[in-house]
Amino acid sequence: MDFSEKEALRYLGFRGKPADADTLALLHGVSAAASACIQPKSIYKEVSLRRVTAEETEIGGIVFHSRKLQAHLKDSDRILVFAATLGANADMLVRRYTAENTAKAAVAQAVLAAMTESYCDEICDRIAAEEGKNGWFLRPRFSPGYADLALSAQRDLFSLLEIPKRIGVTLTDTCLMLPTKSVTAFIGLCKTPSCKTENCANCPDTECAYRKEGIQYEIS
Amino acid sequence: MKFREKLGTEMLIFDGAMGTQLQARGLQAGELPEVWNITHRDIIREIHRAYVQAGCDILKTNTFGANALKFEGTPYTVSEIVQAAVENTRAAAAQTEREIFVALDLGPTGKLLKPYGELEFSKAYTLYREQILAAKENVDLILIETMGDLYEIKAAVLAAKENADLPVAVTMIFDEQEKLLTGANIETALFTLEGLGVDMIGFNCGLGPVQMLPLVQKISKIGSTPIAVNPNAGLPVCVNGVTSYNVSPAEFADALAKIAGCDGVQAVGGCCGTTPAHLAAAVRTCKGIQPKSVKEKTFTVVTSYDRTVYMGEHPILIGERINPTGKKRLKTALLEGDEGYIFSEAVAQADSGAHVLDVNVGLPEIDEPAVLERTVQGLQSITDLPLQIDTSDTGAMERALRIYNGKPLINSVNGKQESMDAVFPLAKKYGGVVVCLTLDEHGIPDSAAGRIKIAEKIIKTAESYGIAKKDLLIDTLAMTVSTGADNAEITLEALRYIRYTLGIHTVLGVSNISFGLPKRDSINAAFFTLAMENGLSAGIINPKSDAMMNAYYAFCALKGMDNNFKQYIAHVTDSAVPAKAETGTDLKTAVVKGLKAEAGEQAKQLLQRTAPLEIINTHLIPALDIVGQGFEKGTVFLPQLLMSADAAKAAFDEIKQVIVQSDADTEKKKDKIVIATVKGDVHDIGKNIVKVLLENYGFDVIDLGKDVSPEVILETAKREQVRLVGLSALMTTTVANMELTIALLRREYPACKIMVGGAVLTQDYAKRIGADFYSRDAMGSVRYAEKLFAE
Repeated sequence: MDFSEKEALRYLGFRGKPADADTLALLHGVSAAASACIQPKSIYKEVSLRRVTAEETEIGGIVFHSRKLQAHLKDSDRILVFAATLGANADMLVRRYTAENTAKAAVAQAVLAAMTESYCDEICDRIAAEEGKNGWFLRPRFSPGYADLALSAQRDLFSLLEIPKRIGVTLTDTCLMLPTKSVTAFIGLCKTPSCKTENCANCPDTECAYRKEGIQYEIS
Repeated sequence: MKFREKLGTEMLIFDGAMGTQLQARGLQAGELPEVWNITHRDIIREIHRAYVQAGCDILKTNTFGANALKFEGTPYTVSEIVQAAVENTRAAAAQTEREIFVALDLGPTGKLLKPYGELEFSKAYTLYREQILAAKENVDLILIETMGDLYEIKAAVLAAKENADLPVAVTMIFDEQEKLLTGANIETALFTLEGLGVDMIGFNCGLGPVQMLPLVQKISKIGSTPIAVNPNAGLPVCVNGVTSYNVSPAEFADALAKIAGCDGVQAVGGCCGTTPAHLAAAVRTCKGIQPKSVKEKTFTVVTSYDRTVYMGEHPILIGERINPTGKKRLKTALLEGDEGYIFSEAVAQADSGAHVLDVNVGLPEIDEPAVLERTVQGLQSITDLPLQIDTSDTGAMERALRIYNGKPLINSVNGKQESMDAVFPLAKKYGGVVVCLTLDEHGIPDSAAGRIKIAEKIIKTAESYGIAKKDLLIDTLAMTVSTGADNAEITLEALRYIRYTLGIHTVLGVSNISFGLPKRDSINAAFFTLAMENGLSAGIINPKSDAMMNAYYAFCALKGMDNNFKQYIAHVTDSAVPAKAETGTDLKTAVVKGLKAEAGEQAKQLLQRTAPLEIINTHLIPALDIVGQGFEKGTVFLPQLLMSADAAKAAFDEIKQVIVQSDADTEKKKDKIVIATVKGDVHDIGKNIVKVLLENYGFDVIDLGKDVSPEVILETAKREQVRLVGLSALMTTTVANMELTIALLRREYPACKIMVGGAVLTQDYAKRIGADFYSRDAMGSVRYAEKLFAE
């Protein structure tokens, strides 16, 4: 599967510095193994969207509390609930490497995280192409746990889609997703274009005039 | 008539969808459909009745998600819901003269089972049992459906078989790549379920009848069990935000008829998107099809949770390394609960080409049932090779068989009545292929004829327990040649007869042949080749031995089992890469450069002339410091730091080998640290990195794993009297549990220090939840521990 090598290296702490040959060799070996074992799956559905107050948005009949989500959706007239995963075997691969070689495990973690992002982008590009025919643009994905949308909003999001049954992603009592290489999100649809990526620092368009310095995610 | 008697006499028609029917009648997203059994009885009965009128024979109760996890916090108990559902179904069935069967419908729990997820296997079992106990008096069969995880299916099947005497049907949801959500392919799921003695196996949901046909054809070719198929009304299409299924009743019924015509298919029906109209059409096209009988297949197979190994295509290699007999290092690992070492043995054997791994943890000092269960479960979380459960303790055997995900090899039974009476019932209940040793109350016969006679007795007894010949592997016992010149020939003669005259697959513990002789590898490899030529189906060998692997690949190449010599060439190319150290590289350089094999080799050489402690202090620690300081300065990055850590670990393993063998406690008493990822958190990569580094620096790390409750952390810290506890948490929701853990430790065990780390933590945050130290990266925790223990 295609993924951004740069992104994976950033997760590993290189922050734009060139990676050494050993790390690159490890990364290429691991990404081949990862591509062979993942089972990417996604599901999405359009639901109703209604603004209740400045911080309450009713999505699919359920009220979500988040000022930032509402601001994010301010130009959106429609909304999709989205979920995607690389499947249970992605976690298995990291566990296997942990038993064998810690460096490989850390690199796999980073590669799989980058693959998850690319896979989500790929599906969203497909949706965007379809919706674009009718003049709709996709807003960046907005997930529970972003900004002031609590992670516990996962429970409500999960009730809007048959996520466990259709793509095998489940929620723990602490609202973490298993398999871990999974994403859920709301995606607004609006009639005016906007940038594709929510987090500027994650955006592949490094030449963009509006680019801001964002948080650097790293493995911890 | 009972369902089992009816099965196979005529095509039985399952009903269609419940969920999409309820949505059409106003069920809202997020609402539990099973509550309608009580709140909307009339609607539920009306739907069931419509399917009866359509001509269906089997009604599924509206209990798909009626488990305690989903009903927690609702005003209803599972048993109320299930009983109401069964009553509704029975009421609809009673409105016709025709014979209608009621199937208790069980769906997935909605949680992932360990090791993929957080739900314990035993908890999944309990959830299903609750549903079964509520319904069993009033239903005709149990249908476990829309299942995407083989392990969860096993929990449900065991719950069904142990708590009711009803036929059990299982239908699974495969994707277009023909995989379950947790990765199993069709054959693996099929053979595992046949091992568990399921009455019907098949598919539902996910696909329409057209896409499902190739899957049915596949299972029909390899399976020996009646097949049930309930497809959707096509693939889901999302139009204007609404999911719908577009295949018309007529198209559905025509495609379903093709499925019904496949060998072994004895029941068909519908799933999502199908309506009474679809089923009425299906009754017209399928009811008249006389089901073809199921042909008994003779494959001898073992499986893991996602792959199947067939006996007979080429000799199967069973890796023998996870067995403490004669292996001090493994013995120590087992006694210390050092899973990491056991796992690395598994991975190394898998990488060497093993097809199956033997697992034996038998030591007088340990609680074998508990350790075997834990080890089997642990191994299945890191390898997808099938396992051979190797124990003489039938209690341990049962516990391992119960939690094994797949169809394992069972090692072993022998010709003693007592052994057969203990092992065969377990094999029958849980499924598996049994290794049968040709010895009995009178010992090991010293003739081929004697061993063959015992084999025949075992085969006959197995049959009386309902175990077919295909599920046996006969071991004609390799006896050391140094005690009898005929020993090899006796074994081989018996082997030949059993494999080619009786037609049963065979196995040998190959290495036994050379006990007491020098250069055992040569004898083992020659005997292995002879045995393969004389009908050995599977050899229990050391896959890390070049001689054995050379023999294996050469044999396959010579016997036309290796297409274009691909495997042979790959093997010789692989082993041509020198694993030996480059000349001129010392241990320190090897560690700094992160060269694992070289570091191990250098340590081995140094050990011949240097004391273990001196190697650690003058070579390893300085090397680690160079890398560690580079990491802190930002000139060395995480992968390089870890490559060095792994190289150092390889050197430490060599050193440990020597210390274990000398049996002398020359190691200095190490400082103990407990580390854990807190309760509710499943992201443990950071914790694992910290562990490796701390171990490199000589700390004795007690790793409690992930999702660890505050109580377990406290109890361990107190028991081991540690001075330092390290906690990791990734998300804001789980930092709350970190805070609880810290509070508990402070209250009950104030003597210990607590360091924390994880993505959402900051210095400030860590201070607020009461930690002593916040480590921003893995090296930080090493530095803190060094400082603390130096005090």
